[in-house]
Amino acid sequence: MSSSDVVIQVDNVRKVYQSGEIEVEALRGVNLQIKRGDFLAIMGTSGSGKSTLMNLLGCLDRPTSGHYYFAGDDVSNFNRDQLARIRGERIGFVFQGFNLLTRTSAIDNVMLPLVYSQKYKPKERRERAKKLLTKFGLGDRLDHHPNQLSGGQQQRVAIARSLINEPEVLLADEPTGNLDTRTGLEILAEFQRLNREDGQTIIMVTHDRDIANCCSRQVIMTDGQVVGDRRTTQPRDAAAELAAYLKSGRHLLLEAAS
Amino acid sequence: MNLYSTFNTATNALSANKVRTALTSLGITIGIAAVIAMVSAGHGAKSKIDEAFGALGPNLVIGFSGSTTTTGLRVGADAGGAFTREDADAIRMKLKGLINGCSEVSQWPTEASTESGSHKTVFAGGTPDVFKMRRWTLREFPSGPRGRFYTDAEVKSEASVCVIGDTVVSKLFPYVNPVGKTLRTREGNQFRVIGVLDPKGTSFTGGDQDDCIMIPVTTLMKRVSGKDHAMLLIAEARSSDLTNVVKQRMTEIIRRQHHIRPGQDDDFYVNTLREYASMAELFTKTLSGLIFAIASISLIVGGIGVMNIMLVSVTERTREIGIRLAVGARTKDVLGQFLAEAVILAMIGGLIGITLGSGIAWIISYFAKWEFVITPESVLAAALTSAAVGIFFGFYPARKASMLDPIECLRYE
Ligand SMILES: Nc1ncnc2c1ncn2[C@@H]1O[C@H](COP(=O)(O)OP(=O)(O)OP(=O)(O)O)[C@@H](O)[C@H]1O
Ligand SMILES: [Mg+2]
Repeated sequence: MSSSDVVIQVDNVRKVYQSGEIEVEALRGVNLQIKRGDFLAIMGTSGSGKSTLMNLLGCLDRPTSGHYYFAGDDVSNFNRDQLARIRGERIGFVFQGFNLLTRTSAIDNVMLPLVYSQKYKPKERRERAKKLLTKFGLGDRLDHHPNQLSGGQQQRVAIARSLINEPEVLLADEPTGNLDTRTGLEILAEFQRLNREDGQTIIMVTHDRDIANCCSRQVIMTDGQVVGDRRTTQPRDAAAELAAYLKSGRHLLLEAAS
Repeated sequence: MNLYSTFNTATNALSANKVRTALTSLGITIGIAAVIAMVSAGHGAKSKIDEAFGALGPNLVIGFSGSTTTTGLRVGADAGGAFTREDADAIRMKLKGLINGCSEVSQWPTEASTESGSHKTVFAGGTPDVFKMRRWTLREFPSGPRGRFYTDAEVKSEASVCVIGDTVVSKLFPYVNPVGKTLRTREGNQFRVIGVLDPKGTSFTGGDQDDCIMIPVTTLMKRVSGKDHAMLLIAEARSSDLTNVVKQRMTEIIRRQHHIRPGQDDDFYVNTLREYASMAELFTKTLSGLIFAIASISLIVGGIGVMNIMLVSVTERTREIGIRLAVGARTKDVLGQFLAEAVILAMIGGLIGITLGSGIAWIISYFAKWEFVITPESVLAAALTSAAVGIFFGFYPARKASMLDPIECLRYE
């Protein structure tokens, strides 16, 4: 495998938070290499540093020490605007809490990265956003505002936004954390399809072993360090899981109970 | 982010908080309105003053009856006039090369009547020089005899002839050419109209300059008022540099005529019209200075209001800023977005201010009866000023927003 296949290389990265007098070492020397086309799950107990790592990978934050190479560039000492450019054009980020602009329609939310990257003309932006939203089953919700959409729909808008610039890496910090099992499985099936059909590199944080088992690789973190890293022997198919789940009728029971 | 998107984003944010936007721009509205109204009124007042003094004859030197004593008290003003024919003649003779003319002038209230009705007006008595000095011209009628001014001979003979102003014409001779007709006064005197004056409109003090009957000063004093002294003595210097010399020489001559010894108070005083013009100018300048100060303070207060609201807005929208940063907004994008908001906010205030100020200026011009002018320069200056206020006071909040840390913004509740 050639080195150009490596899209993310993390070398001995440490992150120290200073909150008042106390120093919290959220990452203590993380090493990680991620290749193009990987579908990676990051697992670990709460407070183990998963989100901290994701924020660094997403160029939202900078490491206290160590190096982070994104597609060969050492971005650990990139300036504010260089990082912004990478975030806008080469990385897509999906948050647990969606993070959509509340007073803005779905399509305008999806177009937002294009407004800053200036790669397309306004008309093209709209076309692309529309196409992507339609692909995620929201073709009839283009002008709805986030508060007019369900959680799953909002997360799909957020995913469309993260993919609009055709990023090299899609990062998702507990994307299904706020969703019910069925909607979570739907999102997961979407990710799996992106990874299989488009070769989209995806890094996803999850607490759920079943979800992790749908990914091709699983990284376990404890106390700011990577303690386990293995390939999933037989990745499960999220679409099949979803079908089985719907067939079992468990969701109906759940829905009736609630 | 291009200009269009920046503008769009900014207007969306502002329209989400309409009341707040309106209240915030109010300070700037007031400031700009004051500036616009002031500049326009200043123009109007100045052109009115220029016009008024121009119509009077800018190089007039006027002697007034009465005096200012060493204690500052004015006496003698109501004791009748101070000037005689001889005074005027002496000045005319001795200052021949310096002046265009000189005349004693007296006024007396009257009520004149014809078959068409009666009208309360004033007699203005003078010599033919008055017409020349005050730039009166004769009105031409399409038919009938042509008018003329009265002559020195008619002054000497105390003739009962008159030249009448436009207002008097409209009251007493609404349908006919008055030249050659006769009007009658309450006291029973009859005057033959020999000329009609072209209208001049209101003076800068607000009086109707066309509401008068001009008769020889001798006729006025002997036949109408019964006084033997005139209230005013008017002379016109040949050029503007001569006004002060004429003023000084006139004072000397009249003192000699009135046998006033050195050290004794005068029973008259002489002023040039230029002094009044510069006084009026000083007054309008002081007034506009005052309004300018108020406008500046209002703009500063308005600007601080903009800054305050923008700071609130930045805090309220921390999460939005975080989202924008997360999807690729650069420092200049966020800076531009908030700066655009501040500038638009200020310019909304500015545009309303321009409209309001123009309205106020129009109302002032209507009541002050002067020309209503809003120059494009003042509108442009007002728009630029409000934009500048927006930039100046919006910069700090915008800068603050653009320097925020993306992760901290996203974590902000
Ligand atoms: N801004 C911060 N200031 C101080 N300490 C922080 C900050 N952010 C995270 N930490 C600390 O760093 C450690 C790692 O936090 P992180 O959010 O990365 O954990 P996590 O693995 O994502 O947990 P969870 O599964 O609950 O989301 C925790 O101990 C946390 O308290
Ligand atoms: Mg986390």
